[in-house]
Amino acid sequence: MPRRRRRLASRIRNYVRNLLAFLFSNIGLIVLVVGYTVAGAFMFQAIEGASEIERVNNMTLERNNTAQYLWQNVTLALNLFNETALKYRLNIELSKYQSKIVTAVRNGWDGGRSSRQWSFSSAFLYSLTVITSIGYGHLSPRTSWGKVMTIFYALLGMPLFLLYVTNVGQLLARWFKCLYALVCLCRGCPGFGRRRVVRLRTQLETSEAESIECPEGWRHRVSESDVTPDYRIPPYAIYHQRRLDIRRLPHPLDPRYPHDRGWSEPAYRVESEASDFSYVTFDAQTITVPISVCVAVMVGYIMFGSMIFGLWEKWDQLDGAYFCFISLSSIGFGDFVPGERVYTPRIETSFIVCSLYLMLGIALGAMCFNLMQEQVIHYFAGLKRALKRICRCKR
Amino acid sequence: MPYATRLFATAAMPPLPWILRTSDLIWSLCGYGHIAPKTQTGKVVTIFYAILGIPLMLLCLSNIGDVMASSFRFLYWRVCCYVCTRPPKRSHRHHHPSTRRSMRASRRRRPVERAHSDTDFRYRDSGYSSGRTKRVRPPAATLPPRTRSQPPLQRPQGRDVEAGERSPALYDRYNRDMYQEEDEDFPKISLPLQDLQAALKDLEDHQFKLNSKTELRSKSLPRPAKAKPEFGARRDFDDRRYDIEDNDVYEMHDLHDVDYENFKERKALEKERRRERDDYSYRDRGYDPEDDDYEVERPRVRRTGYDRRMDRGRSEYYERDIEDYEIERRRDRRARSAAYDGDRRWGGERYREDRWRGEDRWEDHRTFDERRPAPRRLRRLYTVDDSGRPRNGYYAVFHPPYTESFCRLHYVIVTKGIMRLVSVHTNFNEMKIVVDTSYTIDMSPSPERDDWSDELPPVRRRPPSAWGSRQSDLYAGPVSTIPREEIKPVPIWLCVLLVASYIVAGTFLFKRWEGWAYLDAAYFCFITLTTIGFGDFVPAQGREGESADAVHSIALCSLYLLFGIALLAMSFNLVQEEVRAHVAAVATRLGIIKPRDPPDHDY
Repeated sequence: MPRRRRRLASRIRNYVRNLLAFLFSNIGLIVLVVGYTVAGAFMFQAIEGASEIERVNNMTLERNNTAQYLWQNVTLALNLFNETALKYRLNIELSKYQSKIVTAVRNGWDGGRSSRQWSFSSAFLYSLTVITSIGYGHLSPRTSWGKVMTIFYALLGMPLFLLYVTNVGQLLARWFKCLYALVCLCRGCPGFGRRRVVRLRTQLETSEAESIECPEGWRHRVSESDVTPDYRIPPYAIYHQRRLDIRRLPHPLDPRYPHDRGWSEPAYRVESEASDFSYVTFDAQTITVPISVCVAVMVGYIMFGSMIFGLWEKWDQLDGAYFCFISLSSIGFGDFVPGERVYTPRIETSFIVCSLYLMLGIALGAMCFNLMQEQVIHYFAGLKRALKRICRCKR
Repeated sequence: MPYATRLFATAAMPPLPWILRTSDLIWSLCGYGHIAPKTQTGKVVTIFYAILGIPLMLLCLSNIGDVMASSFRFLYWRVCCYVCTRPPKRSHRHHHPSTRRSMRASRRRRPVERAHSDTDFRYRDSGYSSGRTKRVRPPAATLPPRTRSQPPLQRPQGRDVEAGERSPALYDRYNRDMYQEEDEDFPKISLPLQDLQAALKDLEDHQFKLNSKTELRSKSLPRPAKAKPEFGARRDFDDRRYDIEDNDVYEMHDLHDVDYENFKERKALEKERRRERDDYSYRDRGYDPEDDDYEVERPRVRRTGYDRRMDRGRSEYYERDIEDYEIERRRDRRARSAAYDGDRRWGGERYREDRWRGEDRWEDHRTFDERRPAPRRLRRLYTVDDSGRPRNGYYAVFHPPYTESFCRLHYVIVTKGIMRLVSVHTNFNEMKIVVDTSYTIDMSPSPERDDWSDELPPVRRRPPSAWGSRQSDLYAGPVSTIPREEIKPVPIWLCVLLVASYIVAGTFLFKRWEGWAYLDAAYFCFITLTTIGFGDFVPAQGREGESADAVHSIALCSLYLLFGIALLAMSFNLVQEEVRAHVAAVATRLGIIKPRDPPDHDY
């Protein structure tokens, strides 16, 4: 049945499309990034883990060899009571062994203090540092396959992570605006719209200089109808109120807002069934969050992180804050890496906690960046207006 | 101040990559983590150093990237396109490179002909059209020209979207209605502006069907292959350009084609419909009785007083049109009045007098070019208000004809917040409307542009025939008040190739300087330039920090880094728009995002 098959195919295509749409939505992006990191962790563990085990075994072999050599070529061959000769030979052998150890450490051997360096969680942190471009460097690929795969992993992963950061940052910014509007500005409070309308009207009357173009008629109307519940806000007020999005206003020809307004009656009438919110609708996205709040959020997040890492890693407060800042600004020196000082079975959870902290923190940083950018642009616009008014510049 | 704003905006547009990149610079100059502060003071100072340094480096790098990108673009178009395109000859339009490119294409497409009904032309030309369109009669965009017997084809929905839906068209109408009362005293130029606007809208609505890869894309111009929805700001270099011969020129029907036989019928029908409409107080349902089917889907909105007034005005055209359809005479008079008193308003008495005793000048269009001096300045018909929102309307400028029976006019039309330059050429028998797409300014509110800044979008000038541009060089005339610098694209592959070759060059260099293996050197370059920076390979690691050799290699490495990061910034700057558009197009095709939404994922 070709018809049925086609339907099936289209259904499958629909499913795939929905899946893709979900993956590129906000939640899906988080899932995608986490999944990508997990996949990278498995991959790097598989690639590097084998060579690491081999390296560890090599070092034990080397140690045994050195002991054997000392026994055979030094102790047995020399007179044990000739101090200078013995020290000389031992020095030679020990320096050889030392250089071997140094090369081994540079190649990633950590002295066997943790059983496996490329455990799953540390590989997870490694892939996260690759795609966030933090790059602690506490782990780095030693095999050539690992290097090549790191390159390709980063090529794919960094745009993905940027996508994640942009999207989640925007989402967080939206939420944060709502929260800020509700909590700090009391936008949801009853009577707010009314007060705002009154404020708007007074503001409009004071700014006569800007309203040259308005016809004469409606200004009287506005000042007459002072406290009437039916707010007659002229359309130019919308332009003066810069934070209002013009496109959200109902269109004059919109059938949902019936009015027979020609231009003989320029007052902008809104349906009066909504009591307080009649004209100014509550839209949290039109406000801007001050910069100080953003900075406070980031500082608070760093303080929180330093507290957590202080508890977890036994770092002191400054070290924890330093680590958080260096990580979140993606500088990533790698002088502090979680799970390096305390050798406990909690290491695995420590890595995971650090990864989650980083993912959330970078998105939060993007959020603050968004909000601060808006605020700064807003400041600049206001400054420019003020300057124009001062200089009486018409342009 | 705008410079600072722009600086900040450009710097802040891709938030994270810049942070990463700059922090890499600081960090890489600090040295790969093999030197890290150990003391408390060192840590605190590092934090504040980074807080200050990162935004500074952000600004610095974005500027460097800007400058490098523009210079590279210039270089690219100078060098590469000189090879594949000859310089356009200004006198001869058939040798324009775009035309030749399209000639080279295997398939040629018919020009879109605006199926233009006679009444449009004639009636709107009657001297009383107030210049503001209440309702543009939408053009039936058919590929073969519509004959009168055929019903009009699919009607673009642009202007008559469902009311209440937030769309650019609606915004347009809203704006128009808000400002409609104010310039009554401006001259009422009566050229077929509705037609112009309709042609423009036709262009906008149907352009994505007109452009295919084979036709419009040259080898050097990277164009998106598929139809692209409108995302964000309109760019000049996407598929919104048209070959002058094919798509740029809208051929109007001949004026001789007008049938006056049906006029009585139509008028009667129109009257009947108007009465019916007034009775039920619906909107205008049948302005043109030929277009019957387009009224079906239209939402029935109560007509405002303004609409009714406009209809009255239009109905007057019907009654008047018997005595004044002499286009030549009217255009003659119009040109003369533009010539003699460029600033005078036109609606006055003299105009009416001319209209009524116009028959004696019926034949003298042979000589009217002698009465026409140099082009006048732009005539303001609608004002662009100070709030930065463009008002819909048009500006016009007149030019002296170059032959005695040929006239050209320039319009600057603002529709949907997009300002365009339109030239109208007429030899009084037919008309060509040339949309000069290189003079297009997008003033529409876009997601990129912030709504709070009240500055006008930047208007930049560009010499009218630059390399590789596809504009018509027919009229690189004196109207150059509104051009904007066209952003000419540089192909993505070129940028990628540039970065890749930089990395390869770095591989060889570091192999030679540091003695690393090829793979290690390439790995080092990649890790460094992508700002990951593990620190497992550090230049001059084994050597003494003070030795001349170490200083030498560190200096070389720093130079490599600085230039490489600037190069990355440049290529990022170059491909950003393109990549964003591509991704948005792909996402739209996959159905992830709906068209006309702002792209919800971009780099």
